[in-house]
Amino acid sequence: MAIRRLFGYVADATVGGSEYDDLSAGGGGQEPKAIPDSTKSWPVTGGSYDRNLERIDRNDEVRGRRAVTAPLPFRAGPMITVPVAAYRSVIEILLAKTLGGTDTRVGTAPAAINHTLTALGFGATALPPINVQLVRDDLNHKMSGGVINRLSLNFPLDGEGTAEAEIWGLYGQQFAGAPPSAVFTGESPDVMMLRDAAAYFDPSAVPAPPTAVTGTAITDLQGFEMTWVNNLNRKWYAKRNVSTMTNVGSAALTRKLWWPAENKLGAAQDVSFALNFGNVSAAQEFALEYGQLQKLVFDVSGAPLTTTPAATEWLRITIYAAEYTGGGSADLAARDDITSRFEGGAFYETVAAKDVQVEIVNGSNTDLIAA
Amino acid sequence: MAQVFRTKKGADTVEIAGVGVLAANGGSVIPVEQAAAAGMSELQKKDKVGAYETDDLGNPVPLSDKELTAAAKAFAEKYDEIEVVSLSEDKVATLSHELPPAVGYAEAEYERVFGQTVPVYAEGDKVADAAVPEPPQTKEEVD
Repeated sequence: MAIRRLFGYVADATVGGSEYDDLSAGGGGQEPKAIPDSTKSWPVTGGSYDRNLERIDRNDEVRGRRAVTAPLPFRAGPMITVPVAAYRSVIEILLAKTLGGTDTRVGTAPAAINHTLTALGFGATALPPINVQLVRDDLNHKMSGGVINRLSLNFPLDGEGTAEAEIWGLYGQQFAGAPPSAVFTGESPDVMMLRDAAAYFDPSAVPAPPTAVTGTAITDLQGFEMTWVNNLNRKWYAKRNVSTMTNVGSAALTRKLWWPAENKLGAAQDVSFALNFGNVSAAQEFALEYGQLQKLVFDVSGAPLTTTPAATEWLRITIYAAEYTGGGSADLAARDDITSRFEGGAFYETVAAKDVQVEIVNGSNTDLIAA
Repeated sequence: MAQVFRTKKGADTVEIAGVGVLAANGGSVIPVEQAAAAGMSELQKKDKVGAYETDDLGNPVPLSDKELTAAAKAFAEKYDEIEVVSLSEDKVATLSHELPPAVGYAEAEYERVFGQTVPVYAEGDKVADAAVPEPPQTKEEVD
């Protein structure tokens, strides 16, 4: 048993992701297909591989005996979930792959580059796919066609910012070959955190970052969360992506497993957010009661960039129509501090014709969607 | 001449875990032989299924000669940021990340990153050491 740990990814060149039928032949046996090794590693803080296996059980078959017949393998919907600290170099890729639209870049090296990310709209159903690799000692799992169904960002009061990505794949397999080296390219030296963040309600002007937002910052911000859910639909199609294993076990059984052909983008996304305040807020209580729509801007800066002129990493999230759906101030107490937390959704604003905009400042002109 | 990994002009810093860091813009190098000896996965002998070939102690066996050069180039081709070049031993010595940088290099790098000159302390400046107790001078003090 050797100790080897890494999480990495590489862009999947096939539109929509590589299905089982698309992949090149592997070494045979328990490795029927080849999936490329990852080329970019992330310093994730965990990682789980969930096959979402379904079996056909035969528990209700009358066979003239008490003992039940073993179930049959049926289908799988592989998924990898990874939490990671909010390094700009990592969350910019996660945001780009989750939104999946375009990356509009402004700026010329060696100056800093502004990236504006947009979400996929109607007409397109394929998020940018990645092949991911999760190495746990002697287990070297690779998953093809990974697209992000859910991305959760959390900037809490008591620690660093974090993100968690739920990546749905099309095919997953264990490989006996040695995993690649963990290579970290252009990694941010610092983690983004609430300490360096500000949020604004209804600012009068929101220029491109890092130019400051014109408005009054929330003075007692103690937390910001945002979750983007793409509402993917796993699609299995008859006679497609069926892997067959012969001579399984001492009984030499033939077993089949059915893999998805696509993880199709849902027709509607769900974007939710939450704000924690250090005190009660009558204004936000009113906003909750009467469904007030507020433009919410969340700004966070990161480490210095090695650009000329000098600049700082930046993440700016603008929610054009934020409406609370729940929350409020904490209960009355004799001694405890009374704070408040409001949860809501990000909705479409007709004048701006947008719901959410994500802007990032980094030192590279690379298209984050394709990276 | 030695084969080395280096970042390309305009490329960002690259860290190869367990091997070392390639400074941005070709600012430092890692000899390919050194990377292989450090156990870099792509530079070890593998069998036909891609698992390590191992020696009597169960350790991976580094590639050598032409196989090593080919493997290093194949690795670099996967990355837009990395290249394999041949450098003289003298140049490798001054650019290798494990050796102290050449005179003036560290100062230039500090200024480039932080936009200010390196702080200079006059000879004789020392941190206040009032909190550090004097060591015992006699046997009785030690006891």
